Amino acid sequence: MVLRANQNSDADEAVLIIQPNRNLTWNQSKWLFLFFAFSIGLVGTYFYSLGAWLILPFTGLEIVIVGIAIYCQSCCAHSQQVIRIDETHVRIRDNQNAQAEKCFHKAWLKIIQNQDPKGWYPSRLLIGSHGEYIEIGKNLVEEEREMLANNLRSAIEGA
Amino acid sequence: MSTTTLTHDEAHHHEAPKGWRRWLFSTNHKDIGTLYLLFALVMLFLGGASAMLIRLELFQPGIQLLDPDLYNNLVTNHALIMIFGGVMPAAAGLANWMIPMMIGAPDMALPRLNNLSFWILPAAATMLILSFVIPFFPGGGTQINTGWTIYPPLSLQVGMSMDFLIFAIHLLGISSVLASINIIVTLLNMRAPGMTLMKMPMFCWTWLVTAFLLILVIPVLAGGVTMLLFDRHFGTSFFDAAGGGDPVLFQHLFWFFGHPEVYILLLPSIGVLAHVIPAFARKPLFGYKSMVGAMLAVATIGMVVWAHHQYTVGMSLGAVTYFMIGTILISIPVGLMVFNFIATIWRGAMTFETPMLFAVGIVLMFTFGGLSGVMLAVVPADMQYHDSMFVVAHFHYVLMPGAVFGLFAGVFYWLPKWTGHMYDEKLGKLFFWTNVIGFNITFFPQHFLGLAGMPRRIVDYNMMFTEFNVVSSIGAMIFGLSHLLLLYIVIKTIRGGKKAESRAWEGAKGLEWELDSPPAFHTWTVAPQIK
Repeated sequence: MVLRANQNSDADEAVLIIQPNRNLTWNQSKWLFLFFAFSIGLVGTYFYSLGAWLILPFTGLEIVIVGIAIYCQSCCAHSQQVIRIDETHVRIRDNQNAQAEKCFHKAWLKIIQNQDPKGWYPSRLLIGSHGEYIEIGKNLVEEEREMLANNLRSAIEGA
Repeated sequence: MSTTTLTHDEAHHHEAPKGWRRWLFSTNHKDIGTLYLLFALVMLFLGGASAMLIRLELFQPGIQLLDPDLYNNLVTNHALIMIFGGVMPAAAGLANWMIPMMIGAPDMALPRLNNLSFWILPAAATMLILSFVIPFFPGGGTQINTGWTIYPPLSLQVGMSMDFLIFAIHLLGISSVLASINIIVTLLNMRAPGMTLMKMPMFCWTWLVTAFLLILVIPVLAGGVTMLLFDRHFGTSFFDAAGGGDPVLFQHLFWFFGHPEVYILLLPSIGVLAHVIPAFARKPLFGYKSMVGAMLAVATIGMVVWAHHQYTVGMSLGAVTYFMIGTILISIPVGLMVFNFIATIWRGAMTFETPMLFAVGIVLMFTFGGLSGVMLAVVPADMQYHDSMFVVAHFHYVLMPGAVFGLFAGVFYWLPKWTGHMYDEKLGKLFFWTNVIGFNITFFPQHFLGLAGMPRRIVDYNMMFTEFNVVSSIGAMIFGLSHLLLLYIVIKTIRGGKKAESRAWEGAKGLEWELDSPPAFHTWTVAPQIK
């Protein structure tokens, strides 16, 4: 996970960007899938030409499963949350839920960090007010989530 | 603005994993790796017991313990259990344990899929064992006397146990494909920042190639056995010559899977060697890039030479020549790997702890198996050796050192990391010597038996083969029983022993050695930076 902080001095706005560590871009993921689909398809087609047509459903199914796996992992790897803190408001945008940009007034804002008492599961960091909370930093590890919570608190107090 | 800290239970409830739930529902790569390794150990003993029964029967000419069908049923199950239940899950266990730790990832990319791919295995093993025992029940039909290749038309005539075997193969295939997808996605997308593909540990490279091979060949096996099932029950004639089908088509389908399967079994162990040899020679691996290239060449050529297993079936001269040349070509990249290992050892400050003993043993014995492989690749020679005990000796010299000894080397190399304790080195060395001596006494004489004309997969043999068979059977007992020592060493190490340091071996390099021994339940929660 990567946590980046930008201070936009012109707009007097602090920006926090949360995104996971990843090696492949969307485009590379697509090429990876196409490479698999082509290779598996080639094998299936070859044996189909020999009369073993029953191999085709299995190759097809495998292409679908490979596609789903690459897509799900890429979605997770490309998830990004952007938190903007200005003088009066905190805005949170999640690229996996683009329509739901949440805006909270700083005066009412609560930052809640739920800890697992047994330490088996990671904590959950919730931000919101008036009964409406959203989870942020879900993919962060514990130390980073702790850091995010502290950064948010200081940014909100300082902005 | 205010900040609050609530307890976890106030907002969201998770039940902590404990007891059997920890294992059944685990998504932790280390737990799943442990499950794979334990499963493989159980199957190793099951497959080993069947091998010892086979050798007991062959101790003397004549029929002593097993009737011909039961003998061949044991041969079939021994191969399937060892390949699908022993070696592949053991390699997957090493992959699960080590890959995330080696690339600096917190876990596998798809942890729930990881859980599923393991838990399919016990179901598949149950089906496999049922396929062995069902013929003993009333109405169970004939035994699977086909060998692991399950060639039609014989496999079309076997009783219902063949159906259990077909479903077992399907389940094993599903498990392998899911595990492979997970490994590929993990390796390609979850490496620590700065770890480019060409900085990836060699064990990870070998698994990347292995997983890709599995994804390519498993659908062909699945399709092939499904066609067999259709021929048996749904009136099709894919492989029935009487209905216009072609039994040889099944051989092509089977060996399109079966030959890359050899590399699927070998490559992870080659990856282990690429860590063990530099660690105990105290030198970096010689020719990292050429190793990667050689591995890719082996995988690519290995995909297109499957029919060298079928020279005697009656293919055209052109096809036979192509498959012969292709097969011999594979010895070039394989030879390159072996030379790289020798060059790594060359002038190294070597010590011979158990993993290194296995590594040196592999280089020697696997090369020997490779050489008899070149003999078998030559068509006129293969016409003589085909289906003889020479072939049995050859593939055991390839698969035991090449795959199983590599896994043993990996287990001894990483056991201190997994358990936090050093194993008993004296016992480790004793295990190595009894194992290797037992192995050679078992399989070396089988070369002579094959060259003298003793066929394989036949319960009885001519009196002239008695002496070498007696030696081979005595060796098999030593070899088989030596694995009890492995079990003892592993249990002893888990229970206690000298505390292992983070870097258990002086020359060991890699991210996994930066972690505590044993590592925490969750590791690399913060990705390391690779320079």
